[in-house]
Amino acid sequence: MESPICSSSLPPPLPLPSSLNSSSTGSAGSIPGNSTSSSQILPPLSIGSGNYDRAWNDPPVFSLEVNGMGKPVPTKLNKRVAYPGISSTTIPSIGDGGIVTNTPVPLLRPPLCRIDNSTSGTGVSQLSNLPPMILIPPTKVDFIPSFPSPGSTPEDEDTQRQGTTSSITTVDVTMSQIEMKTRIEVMKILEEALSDGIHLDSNIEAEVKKRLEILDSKWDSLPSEVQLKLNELGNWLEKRDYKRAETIQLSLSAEFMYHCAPWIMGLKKIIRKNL
Amino acid sequence: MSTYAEFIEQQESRDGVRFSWNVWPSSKLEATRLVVPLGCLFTPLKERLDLPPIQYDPVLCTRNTCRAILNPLCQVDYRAKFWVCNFCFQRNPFPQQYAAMTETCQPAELIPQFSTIEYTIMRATVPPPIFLYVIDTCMDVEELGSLKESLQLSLSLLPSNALIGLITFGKMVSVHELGGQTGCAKSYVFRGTKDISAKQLQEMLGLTRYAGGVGQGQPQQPGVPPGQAQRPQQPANRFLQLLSSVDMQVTDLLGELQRDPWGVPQGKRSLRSTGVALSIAVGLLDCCFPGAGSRIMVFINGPCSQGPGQVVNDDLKQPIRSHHDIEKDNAKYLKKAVKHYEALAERAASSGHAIDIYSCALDQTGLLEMKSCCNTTGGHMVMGDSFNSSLFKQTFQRVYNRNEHGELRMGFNASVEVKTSRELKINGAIGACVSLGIKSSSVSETEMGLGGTCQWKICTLNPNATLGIFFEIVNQHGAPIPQGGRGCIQFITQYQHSSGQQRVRVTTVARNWADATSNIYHISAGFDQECSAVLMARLAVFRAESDEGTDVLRWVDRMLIRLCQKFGEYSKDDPGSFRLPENYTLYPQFIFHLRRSQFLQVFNNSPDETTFYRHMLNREDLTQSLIMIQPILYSYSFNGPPEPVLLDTSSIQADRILLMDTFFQILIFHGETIAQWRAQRFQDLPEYENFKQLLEAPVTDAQDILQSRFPMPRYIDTEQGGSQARFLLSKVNPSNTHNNPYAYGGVRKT
Repeated sequence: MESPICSSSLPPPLPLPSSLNSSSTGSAGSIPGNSTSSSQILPPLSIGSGNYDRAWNDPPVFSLEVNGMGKPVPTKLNKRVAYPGISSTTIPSIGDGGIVTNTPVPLLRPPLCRIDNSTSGTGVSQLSNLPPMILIPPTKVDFIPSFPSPGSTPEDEDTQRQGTTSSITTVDVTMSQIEMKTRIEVMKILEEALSDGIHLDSNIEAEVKKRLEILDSKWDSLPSEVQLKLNELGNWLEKRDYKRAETIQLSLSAEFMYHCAPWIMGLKKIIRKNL
Repeated sequence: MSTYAEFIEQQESRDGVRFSWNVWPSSKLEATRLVVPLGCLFTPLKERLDLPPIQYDPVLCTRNTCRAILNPLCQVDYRAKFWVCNFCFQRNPFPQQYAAMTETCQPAELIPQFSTIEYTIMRATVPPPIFLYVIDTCMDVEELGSLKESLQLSLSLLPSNALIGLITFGKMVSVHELGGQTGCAKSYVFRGTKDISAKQLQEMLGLTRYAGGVGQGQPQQPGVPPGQAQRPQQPANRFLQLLSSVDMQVTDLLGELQRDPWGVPQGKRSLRSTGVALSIAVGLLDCCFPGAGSRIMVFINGPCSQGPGQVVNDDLKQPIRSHHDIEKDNAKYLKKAVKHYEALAERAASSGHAIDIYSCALDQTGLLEMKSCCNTTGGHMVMGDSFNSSLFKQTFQRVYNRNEHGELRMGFNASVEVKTSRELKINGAIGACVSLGIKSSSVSETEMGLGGTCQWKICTLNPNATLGIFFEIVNQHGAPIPQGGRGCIQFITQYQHSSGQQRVRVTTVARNWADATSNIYHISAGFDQECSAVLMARLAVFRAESDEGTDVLRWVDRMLIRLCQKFGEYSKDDPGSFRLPENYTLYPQFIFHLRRSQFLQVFNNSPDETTFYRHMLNREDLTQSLIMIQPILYSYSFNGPPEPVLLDTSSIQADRILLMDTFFQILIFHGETIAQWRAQRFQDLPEYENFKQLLEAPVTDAQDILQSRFPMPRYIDTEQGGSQARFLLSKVNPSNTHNNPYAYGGVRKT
């Protein structure tokens, strides 16, 4: 009897699946609400799981950059195999995917990973030797939100409604990279940016000011992630990097619109007039 | 070029065209004997980053009945400055601007690599794109809240020069005035039971036509970015306003939007006036911006239950129609509703306005009745469970996808014209388009799809939007091979670019003629099985819309058998001897999966689901359409890299993970042993890092697919014996069942 997997004491040379490249490093999460996937590891592309309470088999959540600005990627997995024996020229052989053996697998555990400390070589065998800690990118900080994620006991109805987009949010900067500012400092930067450069129509400017006042009054009730993003936005505005400030504004709109709706358009106006 | 496969791939990436046959039989009789009709899949806005920016008008053939555009296939006399049209063989002089042209210094449109070229018409005046939101308010607070958030986000994704409008509906229809005094929202309310004509609407709302005009005439101001130059000096009316001036007001308006205040008694449905709301939206744009690129975006949470376009009544005891009801002619509102929406779709299409439908509900919402709104105008049809799902939220964000220049990846108000050599005629087109009814000498009497024309209109299109166009060879049997040895087809696409420019994209392709009696091998070698499968699928679905399901299946079967008879090699009464040429081997599988797909089998699908699936098949490009017809199945194991496997039960193995992409669903299936190992959490142990990576590999690949797919597919993670494994089992070929466990792919007897 032939077995596609060697015995557990003698692991086979590790293969190189196409997707097991260096990009498969990142934060981990799980898909709630699906019993079969409780241990499923979400690779780094997604920033949260779908809303399983409201929709059936909801896909994971990607950032706005991926959804709105991402370049379409050509389908990588687009090969098919023909049934063997139909072609007048070639017949797929075992291993080509044409014929698949249906040998039962008696193994009780997966083949062991080969531990080899040499640094030469590429592919999975090298990757598999890396300690798991290295798989977590050093420049990313995963924020566990202060509000409950879907499935947990709802304490705050408002924040629970945001669960689909903000259950796990990855912010692309470390805490040390963000110069933490107080509410007063951020508001001051925003007001300065409003009066800087091109002047808006007086009516519009008054509307923007009104929205900044709303932001000021609601600051303390905002989730920590929103405050952090506002800090970051303030930093970019201070450095007059309006492109990056716009990215933060869009990310706030996409992920926290419930909290941002009353004032986000004010920020947009400030950024757009300076762009 | 070494193989036909490479040639086909190169042509597709360069011109966005794939033909079912790449060498054409020189006579009509021989063409009919090929079984699969001559046709092509044409992607008008196929993304080409290397196209040169051309800011002058194309040169046209001077013959009035031809008007083909100068292209690299034309013969050119550089000394006398003449060119010969490759369609009608007319000798044409070059315009004065081409005086300095020589054989070594050619204009871009004569360089062979630019068989596809795009002209920007600088003197055209194009108004900014218009986005009119039509929002159903008959939904629970949570749903409405999520929808409002998505719409508020979209205001940041739209270009600031876009015009925006807002209509809400429930039992009544409200047209919201924008740009008035802030803090004093005003709206005009219409009854949802009575249709309003465009003229009545014009009088009631005091609408005026956009003064800027549409089309050619006024030159663009030099130095001013296109699109901004054409901002209307004064808004045409109070209901469609420049986004940059009203974005804050619209955000507030959306934020304050409440669910429909009319109470819903126990056992009743909400009274929803979708038909009238859509009619008012079409009328509003029709009156103010005829011919301007626009999207009417309708968001619905349930079926229209009153007034024109009603698909069900408000009594919950009466369920919405099923396929069975339609078959038994027991769908009371169907015909009348279809007629209403078809009339609206035609009105919108004639003005160049697209209608998108975003339907999120657990029950049907009437997509079947409303399908013409999307299919005729090229608008999106999105079907989901909830506005609070990531499926809807992300799909909606992707509508506003942008290119590397920050411009929306969408074109507006496009027309596609096809010109052919004399030996070819056009049968018709199948896709999200409407016939413009333009007859020419290239138009055949025989119709396939939307025929009787050489021009079609697509009110909005994205880079994936693809038309299936069918041709007929009219050369008589025994006549010599046509002049030049090859036939030519030219596609002329005129459209409004999202940057505000009017553009003309010209694609000219040629293929060799061959005498089928002596050179059948050449013709056979040029067969493109993938393109043929998609074209046949579009034809079958087109037939299924009007014919009996069994008749269509029989037709599909008969066509496959005839093709195998023609090109297969076999000895009579010996099934084992049957062989097909290499470039035909996948075709039987495609047709096998097509005939058992949701496109032709309606069992276990609602009429709305069938409508949605067929809509997607008719608009996507070849790769995506083929995934819908025959899903992709990849296997992941410790044995080697992921490999494509047969869509067959024999591919389900205990020690493998399968990744299936059906376009509408991405499914990861863990074999029995893998699932056990996963449950025992071996992936958490450092010595089983390889197992962890094996588990991650299909997830990463699935995410790659999820990132770029529109609309967002459902995502299923399951395992052997899991209830959701049914989605895999329903797609695979059941070669291995409880009746034949030792059949092909099963355990071998020793």
